[in-house]
Amino acid sequence: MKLLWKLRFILKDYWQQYLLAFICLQIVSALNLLPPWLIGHVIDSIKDNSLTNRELAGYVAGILITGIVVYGFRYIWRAKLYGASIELIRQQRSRLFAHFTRLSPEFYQHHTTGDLMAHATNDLNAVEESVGVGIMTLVDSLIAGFTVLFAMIFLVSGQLTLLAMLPFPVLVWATKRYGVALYSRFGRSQAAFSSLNEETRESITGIRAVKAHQLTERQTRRFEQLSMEAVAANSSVARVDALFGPSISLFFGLSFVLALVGGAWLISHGQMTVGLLTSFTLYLGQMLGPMLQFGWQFNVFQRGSASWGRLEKLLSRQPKVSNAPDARQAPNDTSLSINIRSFGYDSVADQKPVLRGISAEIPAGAFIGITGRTGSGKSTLLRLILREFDLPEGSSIQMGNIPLPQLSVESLRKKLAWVPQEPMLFSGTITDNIRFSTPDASQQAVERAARLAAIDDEIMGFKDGYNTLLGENGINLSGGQKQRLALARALLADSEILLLDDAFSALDMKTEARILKNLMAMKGKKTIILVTQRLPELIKADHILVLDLGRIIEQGNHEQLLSKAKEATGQPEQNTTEHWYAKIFRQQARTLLHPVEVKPNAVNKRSDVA
Amino acid sequence: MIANDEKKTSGYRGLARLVRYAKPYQWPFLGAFLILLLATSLEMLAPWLMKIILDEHIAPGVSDSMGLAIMGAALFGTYLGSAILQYIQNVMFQENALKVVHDIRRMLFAHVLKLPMHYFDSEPTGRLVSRITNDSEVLRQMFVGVIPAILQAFFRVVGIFIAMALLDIRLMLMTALLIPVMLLAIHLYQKISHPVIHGVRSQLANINTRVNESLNGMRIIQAMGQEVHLQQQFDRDNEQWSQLKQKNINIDSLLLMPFTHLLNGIALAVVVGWFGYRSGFSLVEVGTLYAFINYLGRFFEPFRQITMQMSSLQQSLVASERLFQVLNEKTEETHYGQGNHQSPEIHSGKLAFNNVTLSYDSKNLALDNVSFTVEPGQFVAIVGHSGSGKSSVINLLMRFYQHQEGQILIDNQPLSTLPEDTLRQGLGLVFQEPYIFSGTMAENISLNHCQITDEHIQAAARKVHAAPFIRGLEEGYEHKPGPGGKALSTGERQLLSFARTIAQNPKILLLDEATANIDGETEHHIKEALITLRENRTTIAVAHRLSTIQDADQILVMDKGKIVQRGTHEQLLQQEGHYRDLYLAQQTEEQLGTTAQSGLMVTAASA
Repeated sequence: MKLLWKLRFILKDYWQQYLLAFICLQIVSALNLLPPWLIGHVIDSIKDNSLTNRELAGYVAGILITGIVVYGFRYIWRAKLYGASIELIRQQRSRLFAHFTRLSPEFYQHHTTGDLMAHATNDLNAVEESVGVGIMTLVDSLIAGFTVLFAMIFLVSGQLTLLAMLPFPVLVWATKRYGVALYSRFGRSQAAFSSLNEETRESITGIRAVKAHQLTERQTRRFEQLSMEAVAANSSVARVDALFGPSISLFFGLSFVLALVGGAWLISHGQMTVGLLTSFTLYLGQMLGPMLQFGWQFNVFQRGSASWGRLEKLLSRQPKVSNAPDARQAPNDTSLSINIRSFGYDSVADQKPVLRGISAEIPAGAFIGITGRTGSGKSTLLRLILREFDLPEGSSIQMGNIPLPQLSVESLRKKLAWVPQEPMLFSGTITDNIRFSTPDASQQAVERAARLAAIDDEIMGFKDGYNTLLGENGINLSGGQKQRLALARALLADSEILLLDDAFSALDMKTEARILKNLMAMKGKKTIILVTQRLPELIKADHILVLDLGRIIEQGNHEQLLSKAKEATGQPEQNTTEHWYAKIFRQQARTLLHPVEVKPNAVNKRSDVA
Repeated sequence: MIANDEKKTSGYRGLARLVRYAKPYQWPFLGAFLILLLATSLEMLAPWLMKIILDEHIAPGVSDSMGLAIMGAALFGTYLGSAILQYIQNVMFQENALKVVHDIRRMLFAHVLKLPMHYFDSEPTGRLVSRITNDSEVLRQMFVGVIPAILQAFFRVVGIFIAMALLDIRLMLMTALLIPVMLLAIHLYQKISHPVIHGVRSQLANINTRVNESLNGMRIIQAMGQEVHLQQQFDRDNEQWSQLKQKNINIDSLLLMPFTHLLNGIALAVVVGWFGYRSGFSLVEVGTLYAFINYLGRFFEPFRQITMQMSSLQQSLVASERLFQVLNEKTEETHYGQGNHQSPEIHSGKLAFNNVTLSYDSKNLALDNVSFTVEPGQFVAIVGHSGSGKSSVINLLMRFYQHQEGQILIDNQPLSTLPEDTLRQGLGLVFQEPYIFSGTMAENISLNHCQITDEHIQAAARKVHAAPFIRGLEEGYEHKPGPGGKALSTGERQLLSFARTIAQNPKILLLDEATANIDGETEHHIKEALITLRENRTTIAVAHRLSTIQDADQILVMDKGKIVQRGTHEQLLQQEGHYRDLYLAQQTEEQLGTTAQSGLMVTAASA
């Protein structure tokens, strides 16, 4: 019931539908009173032998017409009421999805997809049930119940109604007791089921261990025991659950008996006719539905209310990154100036900052390399340029000398094309995926982007070419193919700044070289920021930042970084980060390029590592 | 169309097979049926008693209040009797159905554990678990819902018609016309609603897939500014769902409950008209009319129940089909080593692969003509990139898979002639990711093998330095680490699995070496424990980090299913080739701070 109050603003939009449904419901209830009443009259007339054919025809026609009219109204109220609930859920689902698209990455770091999916499915379903079936049964049991009660009291007899209603409070009390008992037993049965599930999962995920250690018997024994426990728990549920039906028919039967006996007494005292008694018992039958529903809907509302609470909480979450009220369009000057004093994901916990004292100028059209060990903060820097997070006071990233928070998020991100470490693809065709960023791109443009990403040949090799359907997250592609599709997608966007986050890690040397060559052709026209651990990719970079533990430990271009190491005297120690770039480059060159001597154009020759 | 029919018959064949599992409980089920029959009969008696009360005690005016009281009590008696019988019947059905489900489940579980390893490679865990637990749970509906509902409906309809025939045979025949109408309506409903319901479901599945995918790819969606575009697509799907659902509601409203009420109304009019007409020229008893109306009202309930159970029936059929699919999978050959009584134990631990070839998919070779010999007590390491075939050696030794060509010998006897017990006792496998079972720590060491006593367990734990941390746990050896041992650290899990192996005391040790990062102190313990483990055993280690195998007697370097190099660490480092490449690459990786799974290893594997 509380739920309806909470939902009032949403329900308000559908008041016409709901009102129409309620009116039809009321009409149906009222019309339903007619046939029993008519039947009572027929019976009395038959008894008095006063029934004429005309009268009979009238009664029959009355019953028939009532049936047909009721059919019509029933159809209307169901269609309206459930229709409203469907419409309401459609809107809420759309609202939830829109909300999801607005929330910042910070939110997704703290919530798993599974949890959020549960909101989008189970919780919405529970609310749908409440506003549809829940409201229906509530209103129906009230309207129909009171209408029938009214008829019993005023058309037949108040005394008899009172007598016949005597068993009902007991019934309500009993079913409520059952409900409580059922609830706790049901909880036990669910727990038993989930431990059975867990045991099964354990045996199957550990099947190698089960086989290797000959545990088949032990596992089967344990499974059997848990399954027996589940049987016992389910049986105890069944023993209570099976009480409902028989109790209801028993108490209703008692009510009928009381009505008949009481009616007989009234008839013998001349206060009632046989026909009226018949009508009364027929009305009594009509009470059954509303009585049953009344108890049942509490569950529905309770579930719906809990679900709505969760949804409301979710919907009230504000995105951390959003447009400032006076946000501007991103400038044409796409030079970046980075000045980060300190940044950490979790500002509350006094953890070490992820980035410290980073400052860099990236002129438009430059090719910037960022490298460093795993966890050194490379990806975080890209995330900050994308403005997935806002920087704390004292730190800033500026585009064309305007701090990012002053730009509208949409216009900023239009300037950036990002290729993530883990390529994320969507179900749909290859073409759909490449033109994800620019849905109205022509097929030629798509193919050109694929060529630049060195994936065109492989796409044409598929049976359906560009129309090949990809499974969820491109499950039918290799890692390298996924990376190149993600690259093609970013290239098609034709943004001023290309952010490549370790985007070639799954590619072989030849393909990598082909792509690098294509990218170099854009040098000067596009800013390229390339995060990588394969240093030979950075030979042609204008400037290279080497990060460690969130700080810049070296910078300069390839030559500078190498020559600095040469100047240094003696061999650097194994585990220091001194001259990290030169050391790693040499190691990689030695490992990756076959003959030990390194040629300047070695990038293209790095071949079979394996 | 034909395919559809076939599917249907196979579904019903599945049903027949399902019912066979109820056979051990046939007597309780039969008893429940009889009680159901009795309860239904009592139910059918009630309107008849009302008729008698109306005709004999009320209509003529009450003279015999004693008779009325007796009849009233009798009427109440039928209600009470039928309520009690219904309860007993329902509980009996439930309890026996649960036992049937338990039987099916147990059989299924035991069957699945016996399936060959390659079955698990192709079948996702979640799906298999769901077969064993959820699908069998759905089957319960079959025994408690569908079958009793159909029987009860049948009993009721028959009972109603018998009663009606006794009241007025001509009117009963007229009412009988309702049956084909109802059946037609049900059929029509199934036909019209099926595509719509199916559409609603698949559209909802689409929506959920889209939400799931969007949630996973939210960063890229936002980075590319495609929020609005996606929202539009989503709204289109959502709109389609709502239209289909609307249609579904309309069909339901036209053909379900309102329709049966309409039929009831029409039948009522016919009944009233008939009795009214008859009253013109013959004596009509009021009670008869009343009883007829009452029976008529009960007539529709069974049909409603059957319609409701239809979807349960469908679900059960689907579930049973899936279950039988699993049950029809062939289990592993279990008669290894029959007719071999000479060598119940592996004595020395000599091992040889002679020209062994293995293919998992009969297309690509996982092992290509591999030969090597390991003398008793030797330590042999196998290295190579992921996918080079090094784990296949262990898979074959553990008989997880069957090789196609060549010979594997243990103590000069073919592997396939060794009985299962001998093999599992003689070969100890230490997993890369140690598997911890629910149960106590002690159980995790002894693995419920009865010859391993508590002393053995504790001695084993002490030997591998697992004892201190186990004793530090609440309840010590009786501590339950929970599913998957999540409460334990990786290192602790590893030590526990070492203790397990020591307790087993195998002659041959197979190490699938861990790559996970383990904190300093534990790592030290693990290194020491590994040396303890190897004492007096033939050891084959699949190594990921070369630093741990430098003291191996022999290192086999594998690539694309072949052994491409062999020798000691020093020998191999002096040659140009895979081993040196790997060694150098790993040194770089350590500098880059990546683990073996990412970075260059991926590069290497894809190159």
